[in-house]
Amino acid sequence: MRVYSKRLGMDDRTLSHLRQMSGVEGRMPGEPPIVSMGSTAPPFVEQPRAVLDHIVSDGAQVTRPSIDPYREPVETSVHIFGGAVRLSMPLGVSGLSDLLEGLVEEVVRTCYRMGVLADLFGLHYEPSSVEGRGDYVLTHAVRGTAAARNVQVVVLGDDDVDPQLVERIRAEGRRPVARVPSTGTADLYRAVASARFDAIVIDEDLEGDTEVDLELAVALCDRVLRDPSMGGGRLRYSVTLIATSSRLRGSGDVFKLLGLGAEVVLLKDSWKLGTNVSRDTRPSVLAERLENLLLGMQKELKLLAGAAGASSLHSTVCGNRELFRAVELDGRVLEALGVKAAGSW
Amino acid sequence: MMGEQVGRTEERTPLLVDRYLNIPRQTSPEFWSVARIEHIRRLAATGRPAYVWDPCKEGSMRVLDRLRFRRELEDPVASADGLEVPDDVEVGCEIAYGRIRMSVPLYLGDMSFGALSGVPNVALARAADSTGVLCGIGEGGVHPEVAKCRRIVVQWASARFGLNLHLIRLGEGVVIKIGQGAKPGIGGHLPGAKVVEVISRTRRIPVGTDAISPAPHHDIYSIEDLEQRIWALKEATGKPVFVKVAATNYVAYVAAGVARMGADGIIIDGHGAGTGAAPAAVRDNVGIPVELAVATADAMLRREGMRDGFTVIAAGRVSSAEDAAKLMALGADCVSIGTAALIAMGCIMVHKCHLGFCPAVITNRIEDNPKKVLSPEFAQRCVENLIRGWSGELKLILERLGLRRVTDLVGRRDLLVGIGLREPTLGVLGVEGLQ
Repeated sequence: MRVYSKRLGMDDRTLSHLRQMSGVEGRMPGEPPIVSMGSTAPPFVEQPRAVLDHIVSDGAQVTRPSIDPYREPVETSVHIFGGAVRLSMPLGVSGLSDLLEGLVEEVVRTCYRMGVLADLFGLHYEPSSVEGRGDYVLTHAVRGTAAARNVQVVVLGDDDVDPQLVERIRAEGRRPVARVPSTGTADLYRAVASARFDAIVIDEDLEGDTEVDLELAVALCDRVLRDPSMGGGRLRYSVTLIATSSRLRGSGDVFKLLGLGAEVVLLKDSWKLGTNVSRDTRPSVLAERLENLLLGMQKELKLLAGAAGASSLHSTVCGNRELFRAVELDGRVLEALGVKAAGSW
Repeated sequence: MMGEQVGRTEERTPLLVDRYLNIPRQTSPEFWSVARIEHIRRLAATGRPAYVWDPCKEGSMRVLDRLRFRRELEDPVASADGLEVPDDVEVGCEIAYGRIRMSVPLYLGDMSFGALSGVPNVALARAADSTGVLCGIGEGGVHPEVAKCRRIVVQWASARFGLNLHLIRLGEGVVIKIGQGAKPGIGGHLPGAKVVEVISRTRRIPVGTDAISPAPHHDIYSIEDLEQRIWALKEATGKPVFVKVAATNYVAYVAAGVARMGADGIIIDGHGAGTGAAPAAVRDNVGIPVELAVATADAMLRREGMRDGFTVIAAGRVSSAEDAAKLMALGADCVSIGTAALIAMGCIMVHKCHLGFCPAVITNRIEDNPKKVLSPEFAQRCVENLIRGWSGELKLILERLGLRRVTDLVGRRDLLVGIGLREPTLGVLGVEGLQ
């Protein structure tokens, strides 16, 4: 089911928001932008462009206390690959293949420093900065070729769902990860989980404008992994669900995808637009902007989690659809997402 | 009127602003469209109804704007020109189990001293006095001139800024603020740039620091805790106690809990409501629209047998008497307006409140020696006229609906029909749909 066709690019409001956090605009880098008067956000004022625009998050009111995100700790870290790697926040950056090598190397270093994932999909070389940072880098093995030497995490296509191959990668001391398009079926997710992959990356861009929205794919995959008929539902704890698309914008999108079941969201276009990176950007400048952007987004995720009364993203938000409601979506879409209509009991 | 100075070096008579700025061209989507601003300005200028059925809703994607009174579809008259406001339609009502009499079910929403720059706070409170509605003072303590007004409602919020026993007894009632529609789950926020000496004294915080209220009340972690505060405040003041919450996932349960714990009413503030400052990520992604929240809260209160006498006040994007009438048909007793009242005083919706450079001198930083200040008489007159014009429009709507009293409208979902709304939404609203 496709609810919204994929729309790239960003409206001025969202772009300026990201650039204020990265420090390209304004004077408060690394801070969540403050605004005033009523929202103009979709779906009520601006045109909605994604299922995510119809999903709203909870604000704790009396039934339980909210967590004060300015004064109380909100844990943003997630443990992935069956607990083997700890990210400081549920984020990563992808879409590096159109950057100059020097910038890619800097991005890998920055991601490692910030404790987030760097995804090298589409890159045909191994950046020198990967060495010693391989736990936080996803490398992609094209069928029959060796994966990058220094990378711990090997990502395979969905036609490589082969338990023997997975075991071979694991025997090398590496982590096998499957990358699948958002059109993946429940059977494919089941096969990936049964083959004991450490993670599934659902990439909405893998087959152009696919027939399934990323939101629906993430929700489906999360449900399959929780299915008690398979591994007693415990697969959800050993298989990490990573979501990515070039249309994702900011922390709001990330937070909602976490709610649908993702543990990590890889940003593509948004971080590049937000940091305004180009051929002329100095690596040190890019590093600073990316750090600021990630810090700002981390604080925004804390605000959203704290407002909903959640003190931990990983244990309380990931897959917790009850924290979310949807406005003006069809019954069948609500059903597929597993999210209730706003206002329903 | 504020900021009496010691050792002022240069006297300057500030320019009194008593006219509207031109409305700037809106380059990006905006709920408060030029048409809505012009409508409010017309009411504020004349005190007379401008429309029967509000034409500003055309093309809007808001759920409330896609609800119509069946009567409008039969008889789509827009302009109120030449129409006589009926005198046999009663828009007055009683709220809080009959303890507060309202000339029209309108509450001027809790905007704090600090978020607004003094004159607007006074104008709102005086307008409430002269017209017989209510004015919530927000959480920033009380302006000395506002303290002289009768029809104010004092807010008891998580930071307790400037509160004492004297202050909470000042008004007609007390509001326990749990949340607000623009930032559900997080506390009030007054940017440091606007915390000047007088605000520092009123709120008892250092000059120049952000005043960020705690997200929860740290003595209210449950409905049972809330009950203790409700009764403590009733005991201390002898006045009705309202609870203000943001419209969120469990708003129906919250409403039932608030009613059962003895509060006299609930203010439900929906997504899209105005704010002086909020993180964009929260404002744009958290909370549900008030129309859905009111419908679901009303249904739950009726199911639990707690609707009679208990007051439901709907807030957030209430832009016209028609919005008010629809929210009442969905189950509200009264509506709260904030942004609309600011527009009546000259707001042009440039979204700069958090910076303190309001071109309409409504939400500006309070200066010791200002170049211009809002005329208190102009501001008060505009709000009074807005309320009168609003009442006139409400009367015309009630007349069209064949109702003699505004209280007869409450909960009349059968009068509404949804245009092109999806099934789950119609189910929550309890309204039939037309495709």
